[in-house]
Amino acid sequence: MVKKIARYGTAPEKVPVHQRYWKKRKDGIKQRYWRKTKRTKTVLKSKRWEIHGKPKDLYKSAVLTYKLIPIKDFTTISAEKLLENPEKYGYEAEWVETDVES
Amino acid sequence: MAMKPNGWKPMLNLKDNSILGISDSESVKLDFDNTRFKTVKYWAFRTMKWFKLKGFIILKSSKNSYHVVFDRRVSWTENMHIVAWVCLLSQHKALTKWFLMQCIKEGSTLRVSAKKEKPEPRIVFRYGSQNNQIAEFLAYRKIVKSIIAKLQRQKELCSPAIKTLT
Repeated sequence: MVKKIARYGTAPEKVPVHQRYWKKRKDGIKQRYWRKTKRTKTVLKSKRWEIHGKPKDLYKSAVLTYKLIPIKDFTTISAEKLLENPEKYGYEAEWVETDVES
Repeated sequence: MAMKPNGWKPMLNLKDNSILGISDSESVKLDFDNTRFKTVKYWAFRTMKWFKLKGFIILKSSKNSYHVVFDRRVSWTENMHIVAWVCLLSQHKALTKWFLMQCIKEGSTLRVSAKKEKPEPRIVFRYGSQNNQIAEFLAYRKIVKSIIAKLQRQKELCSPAIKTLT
């Protein structure tokens, strides 16, 4: 396996808000359920890029990921693929300053 | 999205909050936090001799924090075998935590860029062979460092424009 450049940190992400509701079961007990709503809230999540490829592409992708947050929490991708289609793998936002472990 | 690789926007935020590092599975790496240099050197020597790892480098990441990279190429299984051996014998809590995180990720990562007030890790000790994994690690480190330097230069170019705007 080749060496990869990792860019990691904490970033904001919009997640759907869940709403709770109760339903009465046949045996008379009220059971709690969760429903996904259309509303979203912004939460901070730890995110990570792991990029491999040629040095030239690595440089370009490292600059690109400066303001590009991965959609998935942990994304391993080749620099070439990321440069071809950045919006497929990430969204534009800023990394947040927190204490993260490697 | 307006972001394109060949025409990215000028960077207005001057602070980089993310961290750049090098990740792989074939080189043995250790991360000693809150440990004296003498202890780090002792464990680096002991591990190198026991597992015949040929050579190592020690990088100082911050005060009493050191990274160790060994020279011999190993498999991921052997890599984790070695790190687990060091964790068990040294009973180092921070190293054990780091080891568990690397197991989850299935690849070990060491930081190259600066982190908050901590500076970029720098080499403080070399021993033995340096031609295999260490050479590769240092080559990648050079790439990452050049990326950081170029980003820094771009930020400096952007900053006077922002000042004049405000």
